[in-house]
Amino acid sequence: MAKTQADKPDPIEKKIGRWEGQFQGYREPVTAKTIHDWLAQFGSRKEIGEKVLDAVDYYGIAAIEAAFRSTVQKIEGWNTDEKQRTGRWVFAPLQGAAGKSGAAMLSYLRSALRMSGKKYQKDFLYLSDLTSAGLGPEDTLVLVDDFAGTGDQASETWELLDEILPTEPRVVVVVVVSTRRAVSRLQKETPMTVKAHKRLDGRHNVFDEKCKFLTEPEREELLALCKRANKRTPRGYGDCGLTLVFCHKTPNNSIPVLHATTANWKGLFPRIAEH
Amino acid sequence: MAQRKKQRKVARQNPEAVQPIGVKSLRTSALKPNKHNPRRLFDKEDLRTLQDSIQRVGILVPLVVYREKSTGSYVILDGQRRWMCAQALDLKEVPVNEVPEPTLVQNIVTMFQIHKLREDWELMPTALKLELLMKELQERGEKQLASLTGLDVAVVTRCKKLLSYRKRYQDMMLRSKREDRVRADFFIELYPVRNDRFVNSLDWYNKDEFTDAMLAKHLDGEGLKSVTDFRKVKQHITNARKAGRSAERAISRRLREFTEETELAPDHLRISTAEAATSARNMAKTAEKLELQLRDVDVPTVVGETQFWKSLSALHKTISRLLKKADVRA
Repeated sequence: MAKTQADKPDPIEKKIGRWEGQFQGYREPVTAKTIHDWLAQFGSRKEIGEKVLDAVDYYGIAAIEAAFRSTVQKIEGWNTDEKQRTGRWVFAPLQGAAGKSGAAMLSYLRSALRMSGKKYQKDFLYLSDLTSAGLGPEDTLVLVDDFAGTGDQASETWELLDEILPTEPRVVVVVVVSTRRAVSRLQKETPMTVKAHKRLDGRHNVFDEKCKFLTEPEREELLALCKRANKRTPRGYGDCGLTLVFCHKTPNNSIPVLHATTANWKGLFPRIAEH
Repeated sequence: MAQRKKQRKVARQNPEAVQPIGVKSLRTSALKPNKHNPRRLFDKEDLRTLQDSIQRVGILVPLVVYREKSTGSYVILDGQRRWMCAQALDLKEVPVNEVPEPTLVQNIVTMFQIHKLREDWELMPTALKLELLMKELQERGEKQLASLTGLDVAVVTRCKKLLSYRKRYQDMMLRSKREDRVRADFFIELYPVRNDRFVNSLDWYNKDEFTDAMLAKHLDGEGLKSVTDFRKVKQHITNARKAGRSAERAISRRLREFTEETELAPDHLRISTAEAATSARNMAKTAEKLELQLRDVDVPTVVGETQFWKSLSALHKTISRLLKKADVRA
């Protein structure tokens, strides 16, 4: 029997189904209803919201682990066989604060490198272990995090390391995603090397003319909505203008329409857990 | 010759001191700054004065450098300001006194000296360096460590208290963002309660669970208004412990409630009978002291001190009234 017009799926419902599957695993469930509610906030300009969702670069746990695996494998001197590595390799979170991403990332990295077993515990250190760890210039300290946007966090961590490390091991910051700006800043201001699975530039900033998925008038309209979502940083922290989302948390460098939870806006990917 | 003898003597007396290899000239560009000597510590005005002086008479005191084994580069141990001026003046060479590469212990001692000039870091980084020094030198004596590092003995004691905490707590003091960091003062003030012998003997007590609960109170800002509130907690515990079994049972129950309920403040630990007993003990000590002093009073010499006799008379009346009320015969 031939399909009637009514049987054909609505194109927007099809898209919503796709996004629902793509954003599965976010800390606050993304459902057809939350997507509908979110798009409704765009009023008559829902297509801008749709374009934003199409541009979201989403990393679930599997993608994060894959990114860590391929990034670490490319670092000079690394080998899965401990005996084949150049010097000693130890890993620590880039950010120590509770609720920050460094500690969670360290756990994903362990899983990615198949180093979750107890025997590898010695290779994963607290920041307070580093002073007495006896790392020399031939050794490598890998600091792990999900994202480097402005480089502020890594730069502050370097100040701490400079204070507590009695020797000078090679320090490599491994992140899933980084902006080019953060990489060049850290390489200029610190002796750390930044290794990122993906590097973002102007093309990934929705407010940059190099970013092509929105037209200029659409950009203006999006900026107005972003101002409604967050007056202080409508372009995201550090004016990064990103559409990056990690399953555990959306970076504040991403545009606020994606994550802000205020009286005027309800982001699809809230940074603060509601449940 | 006399200088060398002196240096050998210093070497014998202080094996941690850096010993010279010899004076020579090196290309200015061949030197690199010491990572423990951050540029921000240099005053621009002082640098200008030094630069003027070097331009006039050259570098009179050689820089102290060592050759880094791992890279082969010369690292400045002392004289970074002179080197910066030499660079600014485009001097091709600078006089240097080469010394052997410092040992780990020498590096840590240098870090201590640099650290003294910085104020933006808290005590935990110092504690970690002290920990390494204790490990390397097998030295735990507070006086010895203080003398070696130039720290006050009290600072060494505070550092050792911080080192008694698990690494996860130590990391809280190392958070790079000031607003995320838990201040060392919190852990230092908590220490006497956390390690109180009586508290540790309580069957429900767990050091880390108690620490986590106190952190929650501190961070919520409800149960604890200030880190010095732990002094009140300690006082309530001491009062109860000295007041006997019944007060001990009461303080155990209340301390448990205080631990489990974030919003409860130290006043919850106040046990009036225990507090009264402490107050009575303190007054008894004061009374004993006064009584001893009064025994020695030479009446003729103070007979004209009207205020003294008035105060004694008031004290006498109060004591008599209290004794009568308590039906205690003197």
